[in-house]
Amino acid sequence: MRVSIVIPALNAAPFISDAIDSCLAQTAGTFAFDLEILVVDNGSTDGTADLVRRRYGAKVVLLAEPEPGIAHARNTGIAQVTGDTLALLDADDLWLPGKLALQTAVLAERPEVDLVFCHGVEFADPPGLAPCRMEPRPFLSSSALCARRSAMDKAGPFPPFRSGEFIAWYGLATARRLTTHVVPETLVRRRVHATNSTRNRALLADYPAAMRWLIERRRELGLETEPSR
Amino acid sequence: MIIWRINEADVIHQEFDREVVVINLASGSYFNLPGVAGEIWRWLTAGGASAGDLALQAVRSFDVTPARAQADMEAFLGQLQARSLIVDASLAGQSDGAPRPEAEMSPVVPRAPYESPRLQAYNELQELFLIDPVHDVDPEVGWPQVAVPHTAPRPTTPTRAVATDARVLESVRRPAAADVITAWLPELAIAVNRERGVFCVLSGPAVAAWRLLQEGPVRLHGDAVKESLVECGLVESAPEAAVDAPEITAPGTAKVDRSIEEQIRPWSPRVRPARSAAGAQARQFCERLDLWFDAVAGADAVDSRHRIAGQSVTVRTIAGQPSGALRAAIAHSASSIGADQPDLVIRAFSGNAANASPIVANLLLMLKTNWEAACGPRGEVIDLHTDRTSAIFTAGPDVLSVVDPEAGRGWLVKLDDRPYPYWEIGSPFRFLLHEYFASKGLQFVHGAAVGDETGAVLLAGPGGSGKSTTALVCAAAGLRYCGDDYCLADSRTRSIHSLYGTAKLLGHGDFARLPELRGLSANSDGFEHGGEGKGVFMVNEVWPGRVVPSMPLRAIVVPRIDVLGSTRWEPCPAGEALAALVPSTVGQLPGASQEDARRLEQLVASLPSFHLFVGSDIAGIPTAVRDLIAACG
Repeated sequence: MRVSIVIPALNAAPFISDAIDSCLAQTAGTFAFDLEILVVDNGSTDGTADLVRRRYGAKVVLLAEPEPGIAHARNTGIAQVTGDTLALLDADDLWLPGKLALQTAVLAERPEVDLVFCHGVEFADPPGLAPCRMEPRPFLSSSALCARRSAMDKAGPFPPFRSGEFIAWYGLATARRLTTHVVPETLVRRRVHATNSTRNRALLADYPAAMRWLIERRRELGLETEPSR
Repeated sequence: MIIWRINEADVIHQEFDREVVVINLASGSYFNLPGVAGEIWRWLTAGGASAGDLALQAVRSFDVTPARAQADMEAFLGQLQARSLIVDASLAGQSDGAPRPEAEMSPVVPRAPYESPRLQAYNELQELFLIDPVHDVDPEVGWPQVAVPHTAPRPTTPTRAVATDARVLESVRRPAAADVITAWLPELAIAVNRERGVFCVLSGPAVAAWRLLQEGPVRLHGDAVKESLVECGLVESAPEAAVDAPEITAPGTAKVDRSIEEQIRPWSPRVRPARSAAGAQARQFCERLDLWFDAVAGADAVDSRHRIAGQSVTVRTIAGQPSGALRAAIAHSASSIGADQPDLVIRAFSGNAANASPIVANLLLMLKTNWEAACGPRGEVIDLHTDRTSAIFTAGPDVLSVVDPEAGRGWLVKLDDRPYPYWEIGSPFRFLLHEYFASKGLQFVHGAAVGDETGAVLLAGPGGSGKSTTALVCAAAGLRYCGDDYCLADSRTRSIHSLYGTAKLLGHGDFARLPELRGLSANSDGFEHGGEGKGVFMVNEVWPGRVVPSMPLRAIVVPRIDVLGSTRWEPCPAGEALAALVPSTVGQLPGASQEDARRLEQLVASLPSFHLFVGSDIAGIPTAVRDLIAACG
């Protein structure tokens, strides 16, 4: 099994080594997969790409996606993967050891499962300076997702919104009858810091558009009534 | 008549081609409002509106009877309210006279076809919306909003003083787990609960009660004192122990202080680890750190030698690494004395954990990915928290400090190649030096020290009290300077020793008083270089020779800003000095223990205490400080 990891990055120099190191650490211990890490630079101006190139060299495939938006960056990365299994990681989040081993085992044992999520916790960076939820909870979010490549093809690309793109994508994936499994282990740590995009209320402006997109896709699938005029 | 308006605090919404999509961020539900429903929503966005207002508007716009419109509006508003999409404007803090849509004078011609408004609700993605952290952000407060610590209730006021009420008798005991340090004076006790970032100043019989509580349950009169102690997490009720417990009958006072909660509260909800016997693991870890340093340094190790409080300290860095910048803060103590036999050697370097030996790499990887699991509440590294070694990890900058005081060895390892943040540039090796000098009986104090050729004062108090301003204005006026944040005090010899020859300024406004410092900050993350951090200045670079290694200590001074008054000083109770020194010192130093409190008690007991009221006449500060020192000589 080959697991391809797609990490979209926009001005992530302070965090991305932690993220990549946490990917590389997945191969510690017993595992039955090899790794492919793709970092998609989404127009960083802080030397993210240079840092990744210098520090990781051939261990990481570095791609560039000039069109702004995390969805574009993710889609560009997903189009280039060579693995039969795909995992997403946001550049400021971390995986805990054993995440891929556990999730790939679920995919191997349960052919009916398409998407595997896990539990996660938040941590503040710097410590103490941001509100965060330290209790583990189910993380139906990008950094927690490990999926079959075939399922990603079935779900389709991420819609091009600045926020809500993962929620809308997941909504369509379930509308297309993809099966989700959430493992009870805490395997993801989400970094909460001042520049988290979801913390910025202005960026939430795209949430309604993302949900509108989902409603329209569901109408196309015949799952919604057409609006009456 | 209820005026409704949109619940803007929780709701975001947008109109698309005569449909409106609404998201309730608090519940994680989203909604589609097609046709007439979307039109009504649009009317609501124009201001507040009642069911009657909306029915009137509907009759003018759509082909509908007034009776049906009124019934439909009431039903639809009920649905919106049930899902918290709209709120009663009068309850939401908006007066009844909220702006309402102007009823159009003539009907729209022709009127559009009508259907009863429908609200399509979707809940299937609730979980995804709710794990999004955005709902924590109060739009009024904005980002960043400081977290409420786990264990502490939200403070309503910074301080609260209560008098006792002697009518109530209840048994209380000290909870075994509470992480408490107490400093004592004969008539006063200061109990710092580091688990909650709060401290309590006890006086009168409450002091005796607290002393008895160290041994076991106490029967306490006065529910106000008990309430304060409970609020601080210092005691809990022990009804089963009521009979034979000692009894304290007279009143006293207990004052809860949360004013420095932000500085001293825990970073994670862990229990502070107990020290274990140093095993092979800790010893091997230190040996491997040395080997790793040598491997990274190659031929590029750089030594600088310092004399601090009579001890010779060698700092070993690697040429070209960010750790070189840490030497500037202690450059004033550079010395060649004792170079052959350093008492303490600190190796400071940056390294990629993957290249360290497995025993080091495993722990570092754990710290990088999940420090809370490997550390105590302020980053104490559990595996290295032994009777010989101590270590803390500062996540974020990712700095690991390790010290073996007995062996005279310390390590500062940065797990990436980024520069150090301003607080490490301004007060480097804080953790190492605190533990090392504590083993020599010298006390780290959170305070500034300035003086003249005859002696010095220790300025104690939290940020904003005027401590740093006073120290810097004195330095600018030619007084001697020992530091503005941390100094080393020795109560046995009544002297103060310099650790860091640095000063920190908050922003450009500070240059009005201290124009000499402009353009001289040493750190790249400070406000002078477009960063958000404080600016760190090397005082000897601004005023050569101004920083001195040691001075005799004459007094402890607690500054108070008093912009309306003149600069003056007057004696104050020793308890004020103790309260200014103990909580901030033991709260901010992760390695602090009851021993620190004991040495601070001795320091306060050995010196007179004063209030320095810092008035608007800044120029009067150095004179007042000189006068005060002379009066104590």
